[in-house]
Amino acid sequence: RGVNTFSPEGRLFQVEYAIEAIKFGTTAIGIMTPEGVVLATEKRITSVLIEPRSIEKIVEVDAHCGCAMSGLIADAKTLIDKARVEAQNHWFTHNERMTIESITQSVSNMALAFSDDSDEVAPISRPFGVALLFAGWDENGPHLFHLDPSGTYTEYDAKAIGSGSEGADQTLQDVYHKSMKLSEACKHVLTILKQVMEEKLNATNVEMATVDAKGYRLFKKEEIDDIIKNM
Amino acid sequence: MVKQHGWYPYEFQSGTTVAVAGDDYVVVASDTRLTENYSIQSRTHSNVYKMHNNSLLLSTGFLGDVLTLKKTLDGRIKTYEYTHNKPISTPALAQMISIMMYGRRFFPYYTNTIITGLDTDGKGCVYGFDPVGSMTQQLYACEGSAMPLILPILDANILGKNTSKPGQVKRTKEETVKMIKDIYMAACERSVELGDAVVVHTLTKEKGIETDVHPLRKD
Repeated sequence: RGVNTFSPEGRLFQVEYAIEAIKFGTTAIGIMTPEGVVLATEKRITSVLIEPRSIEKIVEVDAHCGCAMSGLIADAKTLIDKARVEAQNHWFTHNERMTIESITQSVSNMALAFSDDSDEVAPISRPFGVALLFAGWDENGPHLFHLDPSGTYTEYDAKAIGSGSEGADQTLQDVYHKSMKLSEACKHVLTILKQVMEEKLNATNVEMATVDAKGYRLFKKEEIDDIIKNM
Repeated sequence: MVKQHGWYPYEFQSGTTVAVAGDDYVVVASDTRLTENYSIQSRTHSNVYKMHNNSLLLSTGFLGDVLTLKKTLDGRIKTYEYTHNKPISTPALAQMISIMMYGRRFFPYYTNTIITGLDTDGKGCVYGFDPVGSMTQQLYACEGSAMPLILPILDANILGKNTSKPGQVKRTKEETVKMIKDIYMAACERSVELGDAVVVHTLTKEKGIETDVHPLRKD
């Protein structure tokens, strides 16, 4: 019985176990507004000796696309690299920005390419234990896509992933409305993170980024401080 | 003694193409004579190929490579549409052609290619390529056997170059079609490789592709 064969009840256990791994990951939240998309993550700094800047859970994929992650962060490096290479390949061949859905789809192709059979031409022995939120701005406006270890990707108006996702998703449903301003959304992500985080929220133990028509931008510590002050 | 090659992978088969970009249209033209040395292989072969995304590909040179390039592009255009859920824009297609042709840098597609269409703002665009994919966006282009006869006339008529009245002359699509027909009629008097007919296509957003065939001398 191999890892990518079905169980009698029609389940793929490895994929389900990978989704379980994300339930212990740090919380990440994304909200899409007509003005742009905001991403925020908790860093969960476990020791005062850790250099907070070295913990990177929101990364740039291309000038018009960013990505937040939750789960086995090391697994995400491979996926992010794939996303970056695909986006640049597309620009090289077509001289245009790749749409956010296309970027997400190109990464999802890696999700089920695992096998424990040495005869198979599979690159990895287990699924990726990480969920990703792709936020970007393409020719069709702002987009937020969620990608999970099964390779399923869905577009969301607002989504939370990680340990605090259940509570956060519920709050997002209550506060979200389609005409939200980006500045409003920035306040909401931090407010919700504050509710689900164990440590007290401050500008050094969270990360934030926005993607609007001008592109991806990671917030500086001072900018996050400003938003916290106005909360 | 140097021995002559018994087999050469390329042929030079004639054909002359012209493309002119306008503010909201593109006019392309091709003669319909296909030759090999002094033989006529066809009097009804147009060098204009309609692509799946409503771009018009103009390609002359070696017919084997012209047709293979077109076929490969057809496949790539469909793949793009299925992968990205939208038709490929002409500028994106142009870049792709450039990359594809350079991929054969050491055994080139022996073609003089032009791709034309309407860009994402609805403006006419013309991209010219050399046989290894060097791409330039141009206001007008001319390739093929009668290019040395026709290109200077386009320079003078469209941009007023080397004339007593320099400066661009804007034309409607109807005026552009008439100018191109007149130019082909003049050029075919002086070239053995040009003749039989000129096919003129006008591409606009509203009406798509409108085609006009104008006969030329058969000698």
